[in-house]
Amino acid sequence: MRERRVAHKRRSAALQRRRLGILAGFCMLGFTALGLRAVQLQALDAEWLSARAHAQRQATVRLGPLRGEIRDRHGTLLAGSATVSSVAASPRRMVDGQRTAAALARALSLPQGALRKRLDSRRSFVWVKRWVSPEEAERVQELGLAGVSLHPERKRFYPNRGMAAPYLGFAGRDGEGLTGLELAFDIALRGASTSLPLLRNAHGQTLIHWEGDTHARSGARIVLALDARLQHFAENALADAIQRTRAKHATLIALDPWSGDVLALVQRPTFDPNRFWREDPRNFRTRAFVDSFEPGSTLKPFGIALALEAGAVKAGDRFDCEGGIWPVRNRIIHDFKPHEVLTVRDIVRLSSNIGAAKVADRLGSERLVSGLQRLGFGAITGSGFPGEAPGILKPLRKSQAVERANLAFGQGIAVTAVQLAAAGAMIANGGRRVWPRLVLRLEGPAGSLEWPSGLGERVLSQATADEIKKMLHSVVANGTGKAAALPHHSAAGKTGTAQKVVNGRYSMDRYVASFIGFAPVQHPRLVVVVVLDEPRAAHTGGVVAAPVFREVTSFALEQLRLAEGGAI
Amino acid sequence: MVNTRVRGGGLLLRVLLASAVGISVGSGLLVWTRTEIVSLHYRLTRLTDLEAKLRRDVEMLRVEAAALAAPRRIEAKARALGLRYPDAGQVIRLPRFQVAAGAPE
Repeated sequence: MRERRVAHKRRSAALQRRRLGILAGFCMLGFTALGLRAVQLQALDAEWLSARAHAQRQATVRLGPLRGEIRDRHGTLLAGSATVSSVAASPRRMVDGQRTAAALARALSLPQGALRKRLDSRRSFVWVKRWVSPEEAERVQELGLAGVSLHPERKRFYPNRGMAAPYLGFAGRDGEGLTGLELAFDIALRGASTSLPLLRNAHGQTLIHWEGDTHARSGARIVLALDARLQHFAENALADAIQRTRAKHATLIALDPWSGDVLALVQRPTFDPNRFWREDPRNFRTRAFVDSFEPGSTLKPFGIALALEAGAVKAGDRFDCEGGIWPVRNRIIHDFKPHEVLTVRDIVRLSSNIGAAKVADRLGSERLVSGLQRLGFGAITGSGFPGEAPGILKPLRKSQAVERANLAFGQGIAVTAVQLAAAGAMIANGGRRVWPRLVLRLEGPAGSLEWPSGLGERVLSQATADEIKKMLHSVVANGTGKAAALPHHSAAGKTGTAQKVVNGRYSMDRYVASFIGFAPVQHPRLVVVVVLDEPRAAHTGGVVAAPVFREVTSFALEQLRLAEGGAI
Repeated sequence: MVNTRVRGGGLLLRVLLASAVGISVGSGLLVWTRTEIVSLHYRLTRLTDLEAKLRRDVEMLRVEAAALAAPRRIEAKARALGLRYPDAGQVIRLPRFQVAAGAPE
């Protein structure tokens, strides 16, 4: 009995051990399987699974490059870019379109009706609002609406708003330069696009996730020759002039005659490039480069310079100005005020049309036209500005006496303000050609590219240039340009009042008033051209344009210390 | 005979248990390492996010600073304070201070 009990106990113990063994075996197998599975998930299939998860939660958007900055010669930021958010929706993925539209309208201050209509479609992608503020982006994010997502986009900012706007131009919503310097240097400014990964949640909403260095492909920085201080002052002066004269529009360009640097380029009216889509597109044109006008008397010094250079006349030669009325073929040429006999100097000082026409007669049609071409008229200046107009300068035959006479006092020719300024700079610097220099340098990741100076070859002799400078000084000292005289410095210049052509005829009440001048006379530091289109209160260049020259040049010479050799 | 079987079975059990423990510990270590990598990746992503956000803030601040320093705005503020441009001749340029040789600049 006892033996049977012992045997039974032994069998039970053996059975228990076997059961324990089996259990331990199962446990071990289980752990081993778990371990192996963990190894499989975490090591063997890790990459594949990770890629699959990545693909489920991640989307990629193409982010435009961060457009390069535009700065003035002293480093003032004129145009810069930043990354902002835009709100987009996928109406197909929305759970409740009505509720979504109402919530978005509240968060983004949009009209609810229009937004609801837009979100009612079955499209897969709709912009709700582009370039939202950080606060608006945060509000949208907090709403957590299905089918609504935030997208990073680049935005161009112009911190000085309308300052130099027609000259700088602007970049479109997709980051491409559309006008002005933004267009001219688009390739350099643009840089390269980059792909930006975004995270998606379970509802397919895109969550902003800014991964990677989005700056790596930003465009080059452009340093302009422009001086923001002078530009600002000139903008104010021109705005005042527009108000005083009620002119349709006005342009001012200031050049350094020794380098061709465009120190200021002002246009009124202007526009705010930050909201270009709401502005009048007529103001987008950079008139100084693309609009041609008949220069009138501001062209006289150049015809006379050519006659002096060719030896056709001398400064002291006297011409009968016919008492202010001179018939040429079938036309009568008038002087604004009648004059009798005038020297060449006085023809410039008193702006006699008849005197200028008689000097041009001595020079001859061919030499007059080819000479004006040599001075840069009738061709683009080489500035590189997009859409620059060459102006109009037609060849003349010897027999075209009326046309030659007209050309001598600036009719039958069309010039741009920048051509006039470049030609004026040529007189100011003693006879060397000047190309307007818009940019000082490009600064990119690979280094800096300096723009060459705009000072070119000699076109007029020093003696001719000096003689013309004296004549132009007399215009300001005691001629038609007295309003341009500076309180502390000598100035030289020429007034211009040109009748506008309306329906093929010269208008009797629409004029372009202009002034071209430089200062100081001995060593000019600044050439300024002022053009006012259709001034109403008074219409002569000496009355409406010359004071603007005085104001701007005086500021530049005295407050920017240009006259003392200060660096602008 | 029985004792030998029992002793043999116990050894096998111990080997199996030790293997199971080894595999479990090894797997645990591997999983912990991977989890730690993922966790570090999350931290890195958060920091990258922060860096990118700070970069964006810098971009915006740069533009804002330029807008605040715009000549038009400064002039309006100055005029509101009763300031105006100096008249011609009121700007006096001071001679540059000459530093004596050897003196600290």
